[in-house]
Amino acid sequence: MKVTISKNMTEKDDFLGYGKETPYEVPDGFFDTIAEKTLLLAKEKEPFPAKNRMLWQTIAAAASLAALFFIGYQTEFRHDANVSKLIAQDSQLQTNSKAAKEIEISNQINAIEHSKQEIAKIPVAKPAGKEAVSDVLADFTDEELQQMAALYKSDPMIGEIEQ
Amino acid sequence: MIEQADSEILEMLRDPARKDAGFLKLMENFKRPVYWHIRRLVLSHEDAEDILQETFIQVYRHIGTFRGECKLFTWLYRIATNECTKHFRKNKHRKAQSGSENLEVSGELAGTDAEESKAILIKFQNAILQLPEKQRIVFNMRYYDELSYEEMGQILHSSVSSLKTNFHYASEKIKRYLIDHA
Repeated sequence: MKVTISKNMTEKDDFLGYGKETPYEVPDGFFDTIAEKTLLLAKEKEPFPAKNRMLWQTIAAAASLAALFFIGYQTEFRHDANVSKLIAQDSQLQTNSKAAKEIEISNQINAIEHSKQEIAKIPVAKPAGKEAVSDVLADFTDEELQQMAALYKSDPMIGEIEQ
Repeated sequence: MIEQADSEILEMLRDPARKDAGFLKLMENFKRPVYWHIRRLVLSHEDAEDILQETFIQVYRHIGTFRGECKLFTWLYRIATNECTKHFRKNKHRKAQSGSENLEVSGELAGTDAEESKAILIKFQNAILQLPEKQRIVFNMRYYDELSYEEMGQILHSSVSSLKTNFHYASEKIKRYLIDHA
């Protein structure tokens, strides 16, 4: 086979020498059996008939709903159970803490009462300072008192201390 | 739009009692051209077989959606071309990962007799394989399947002018390749 290619060829005579043949080969008997083989495959891959498909779709939808319901129920139930448990724990804690507070308050009250009783037992001391001074002053003579009054007035240090 | 043979096959395919017989008739009429269209694009027989089967399975499953706005053949080609494009994308990813990107027909023909005439055909195929994906599809459809630009437009959702341009560039590149490798 001799083929000449020219750059000036037109679409009609292009590649005339090459013809329509290809170098590819096909296994013997391929075209004799391919139709039946393909039909079998097509029937295998064919989706369910409409009636069956609808039945399966219904079953699938029902199963999905049931699963969703079950999961939802489980979640909600557990949630409720957890919440109740937490509330119980919380109220227990609150009760405990209230009782503890009450005990503490009662202890404090007892302690205060006890202190009061202790205080009551102590004899009330007379204001010794004032009486002692008046007793001392009573022993002074008038002259001594005048001297002390004069000293009080003249000594600036005594006045400052009092102020 | 629908030809006599097409309408007969369609009638059978839409009748549950005759669907299988209609499918076998459809395959009888179109398995060879569709197979070769795929094979020239993907090269390997195994890939071409898979894509051919997938194409017809799509038709079997979605025959109800075919509205008869084009020929059955055009619809089949569109599905087959889309499947090939999907295959290219998958393969591109795989080749990019493995690092091998060269397509060589000789590799696909390893073990066969490379006679002189076959060597020429191989060279021609290698020239086509150098083209970008779209140009390769357009060239094959126009050159081997001899489809009109209007039919190609329906299959590839492209304008006639764009297809003509693609074919022109493809032919020029192939010529240059053949001259360079003479």
